[in-house]
Amino acid sequence: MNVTRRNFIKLSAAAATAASVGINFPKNAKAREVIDKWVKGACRFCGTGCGVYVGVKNGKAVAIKGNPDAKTNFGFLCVKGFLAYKVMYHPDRLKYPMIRQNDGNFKRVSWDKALDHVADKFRYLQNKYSKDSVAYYGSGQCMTEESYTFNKLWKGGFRSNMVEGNPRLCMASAVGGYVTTFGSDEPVGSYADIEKSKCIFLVGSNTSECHPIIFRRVMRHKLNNPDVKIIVCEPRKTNTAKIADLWLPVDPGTDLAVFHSMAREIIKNNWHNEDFIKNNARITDGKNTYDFKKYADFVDQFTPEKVEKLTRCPAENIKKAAEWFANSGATYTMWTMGLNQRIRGVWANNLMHNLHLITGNIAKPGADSFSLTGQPNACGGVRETGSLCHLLPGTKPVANDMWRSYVEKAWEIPEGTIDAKPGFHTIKMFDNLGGENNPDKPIKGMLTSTTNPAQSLPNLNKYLKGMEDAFLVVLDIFPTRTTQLADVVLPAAFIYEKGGVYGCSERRSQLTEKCVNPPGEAKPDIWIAAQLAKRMGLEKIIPWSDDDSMTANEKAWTDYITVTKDTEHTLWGAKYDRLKKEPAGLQWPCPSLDHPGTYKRYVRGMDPMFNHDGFKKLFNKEIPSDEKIYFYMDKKGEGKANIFLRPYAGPAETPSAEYPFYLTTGRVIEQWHTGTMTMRVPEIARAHPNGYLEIHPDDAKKYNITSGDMIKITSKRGTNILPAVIVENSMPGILFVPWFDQHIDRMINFVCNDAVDKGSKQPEFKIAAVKIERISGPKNVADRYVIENINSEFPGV
Amino acid sequence: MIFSGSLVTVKENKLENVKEFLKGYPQVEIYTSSENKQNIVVAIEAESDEKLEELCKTLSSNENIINIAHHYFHFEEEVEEIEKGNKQNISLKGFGKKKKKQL
Repeated sequence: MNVTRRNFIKLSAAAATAASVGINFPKNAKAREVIDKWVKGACRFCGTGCGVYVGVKNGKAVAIKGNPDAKTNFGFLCVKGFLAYKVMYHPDRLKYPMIRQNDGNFKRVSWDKALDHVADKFRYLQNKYSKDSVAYYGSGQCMTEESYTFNKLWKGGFRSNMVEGNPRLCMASAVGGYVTTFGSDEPVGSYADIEKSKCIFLVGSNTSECHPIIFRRVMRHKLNNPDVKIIVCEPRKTNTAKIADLWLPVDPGTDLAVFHSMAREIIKNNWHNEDFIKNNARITDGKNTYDFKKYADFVDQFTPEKVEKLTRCPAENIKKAAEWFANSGATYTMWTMGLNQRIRGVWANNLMHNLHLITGNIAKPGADSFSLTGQPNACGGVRETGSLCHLLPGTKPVANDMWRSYVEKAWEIPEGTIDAKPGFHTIKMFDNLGGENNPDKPIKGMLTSTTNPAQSLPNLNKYLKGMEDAFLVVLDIFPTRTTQLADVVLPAAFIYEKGGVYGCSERRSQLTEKCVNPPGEAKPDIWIAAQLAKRMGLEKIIPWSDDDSMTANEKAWTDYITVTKDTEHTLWGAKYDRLKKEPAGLQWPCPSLDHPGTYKRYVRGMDPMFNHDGFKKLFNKEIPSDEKIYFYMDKKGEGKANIFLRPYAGPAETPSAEYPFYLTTGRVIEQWHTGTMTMRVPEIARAHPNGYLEIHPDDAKKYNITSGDMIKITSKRGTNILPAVIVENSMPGILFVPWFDQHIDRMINFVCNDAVDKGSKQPEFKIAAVKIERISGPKNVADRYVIENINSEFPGV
Repeated sequence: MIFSGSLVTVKENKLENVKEFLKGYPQVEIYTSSENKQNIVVAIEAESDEKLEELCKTLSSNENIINIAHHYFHFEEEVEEIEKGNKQNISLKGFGKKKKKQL
């Protein structure tokens, strides 16, 4: 690149940066645009929902910048966001449909041949076994239009509720928490509450690594307002805790006791908000209602001193946390997998909401109990479109007669088409997946999209054979552990190659327009779904088989927002034309074209549902005119939220003589999920080239381990062999392993527990009891292992 | 080669101090600063994303620099290199053996 061009690029970069934050740029510096066009969109990674512009030149994505008008990131990007281009142009991209032959190898075929084969096989299986013998497993990374389309095809076309998505593995407990506490999924408030808060409580979240842009907002708020208190509750003292005024260390799975203890301190010191509780909440165990005294008496047993013995969280820290939480004036809590991926994940979410309800830290500026979503479109794509086995669009249950009938009418399908019986949740679905020769496995075929269950399921050994024996169709952009078990591989387009909507953690839907064409013959999922529907005689159900993805997307989106227009999730005001123009997307409820979107739910004057006649009529809601705060989805129709009496319950496995350690798992900032994309990026892979085991110095000393030594970690379910990294950032007895590594020795989900929360059916990834053994000194592990060859075998299967 | 447009946030009254410090890094070019003297707009040139991050970590170790945030990334050259095939050990050819599937 010549010097002049280099200078122009740097000048453009600097000028754009200055403009994004309102800094004057030198008048004599003439920045020349080096990009043909900038296309508005959302970031591909994490549930923050950063707004971006993708720079296109000569039909290629050559630049990316933050959208300064975006209400999520205000124009800034983290390291993962800007590396999407390397994924897009990587030589490993799947470009052609492939069918596995009798010799076990894949053969490239035409789209017609591949789709005919899939349709014929699905039809054969459904006719021979049942309408529920073919399942769909989607993802919180699919576009909303894609998830909606597959959901409609399966439930309205195949009449099957065997529809699930990987948010079952990450967000189901958060859903359960919101629905049981408030009557409706997703947060009351928004990210905007961060900058209005006086106390921020980060629980079960390594925000600095998993949601770095949100962390930046918290950090900036603290820097600008030193009196703001930051409390971090985590087994590991991660980078997030560096800005904390108070760290609550806690053994994995025991934090329910800490939350109860905080409640106890709040009540004992009379820091609770009696008026708020009386007017806006009730005490319940899920069946019966009680007075506040019952709740106070219940939590009284959780003295900080007793809880310290149970959890190792210091009593003084609990007391201080309770004081700050209750008395700040506006407390904002954020959490993610640390609360969700547990057998009592729903309860953990309930207890967090409890603290906000008893102190009145909800439904006001700066205060909220906010669940951070992991994936970029778990909210918009899977939760809101109802793409789970028990739901329909609008997040209402399939078992709800009124709603089922309503959706049937909206979809123009005969009454009685949609099955009232929920399908199988994810773990049960994969447990029942198998070959035709296995009568114990009723699901014989599956289509997966944008997810890698052959790496991401817990207790992995249990589910691999089923995937291998079944007729498995995989839509993806790279070879993965799951394509190693597939019968058909369909190459998918990436977000900037197809466009579509993502809905992030704060109920904000943002449209990405198509920027460039996909490589080879890769296609958008929505086209694949429509072609399948056509071949199976269901074109009327999915009438958007356009080759142009944006045209198809818009039709699907319009269909979706029409069905849900009178629900509390309404996006009726978010038509495609408007989403294209809106600089920062729109937060639902957004009932009309002139509505700006909703910052805060359940508050009169802020939430349009108070005056939404269609909603009130459809769901028979009466909202008293004198109520300022009203939780209108309360099942009892009283406008109240539920403060839950939940007993203490620990994890499914606790350390024992045989398995003396807690194992917890998670992400690191540079790697995304199972590393199929980020491990292909050399710079990211170099930062964390392989999985590793974090161990406390005291434990390392006991086992004679030094950093780099190879350690065998074993649970009741499986084993990994990993290099050790000795760190002081957690308590003795707690081990941490990141889950991005694809190498067969380092896929930690072989070790993880698939015990599920009874309510949400979300597995307990975060906690397992394990033992360790030093195997050897440092070894030259296969750095940056990725599956490159589509015909490579899954070892041992 | 990667180019970024980035914002360096500095401690109060330390703007000139940080500017002097940044002059010691030829990869960093200073363009302008904010009126409140808390932010410096720079362009950074780096051989790779990893080098960019390494450099930012080094710069952030300066006690007067509070934060370095990125707004803009240009990677046209990187895309060209990838498309030319300048990557080792990548191939979808050479099919491996697999046992026959039971139909």
